[in-house]
Amino acid sequence: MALNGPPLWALRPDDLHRPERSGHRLSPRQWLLVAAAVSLVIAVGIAAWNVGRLAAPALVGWQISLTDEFADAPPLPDLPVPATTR
Amino acid sequence: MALAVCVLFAAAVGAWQGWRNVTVDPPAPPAVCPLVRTEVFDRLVPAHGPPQVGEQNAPGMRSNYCLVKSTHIRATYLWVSLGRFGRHEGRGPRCVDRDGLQTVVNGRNHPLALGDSAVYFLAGDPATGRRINFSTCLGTYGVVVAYEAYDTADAAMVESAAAVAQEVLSWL
Repeated sequence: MALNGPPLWALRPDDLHRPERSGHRLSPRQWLLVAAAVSLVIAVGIAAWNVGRLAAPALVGWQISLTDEFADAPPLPDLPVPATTR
Repeated sequence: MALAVCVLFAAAVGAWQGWRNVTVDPPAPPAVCPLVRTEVFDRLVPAHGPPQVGEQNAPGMRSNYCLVKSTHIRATYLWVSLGRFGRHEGRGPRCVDRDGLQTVVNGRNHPLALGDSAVYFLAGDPATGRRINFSTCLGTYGVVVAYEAYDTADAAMVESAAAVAQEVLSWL
């Protein structure tokens, strides 16, 4: 059987070029900082969700009071005409 | 700096989501029966029995009703409901924001100037019992009046139902 080119075992390590990396790898310490920042953001979101949920009754109570304070009730009307006399 | 922005954004989104999806029941509205003068019941529902009362509550809404029925064979009735709205499904507590006005899709709805907003619709035949459903909103309160009568002109029924609704609103 004919071979096209030399067999793979014939390649030496110097023949294979390692690709160049762009940038630099994060150190474990930097990974920890990123994880801590993400955790902080999530924790703040959850805490704020609970604050919003727990504060809602007081806020709605305040909304109800304010809404009804500015509502103008109509005057007491005259008695309606009796149905039997129509 | 970027972290501070992310934290503030997370706080705003979290607080908004917590507030938006919450259901809050309002304080109970006053009993509606005492808000309607006895003479009104006497005039609109001749020979009526004692008023029947009850509660109808839903998430973010509390209401009570007063039902007066005539003891005649051709029984008329007057049903008055007073509801109050809190917060539910991201809406409220204003009555007009919470579908406090009752309308029909297969009939004609007539708007009327009372409270923040008012609408009524009529159904039935005068000979077999003409019914009016009148609903109005004022602030966080919603009043619904259902009145059935015989041989009565539509204009008179509208006037009567509006008078009952206005009577309830006037005490709030």
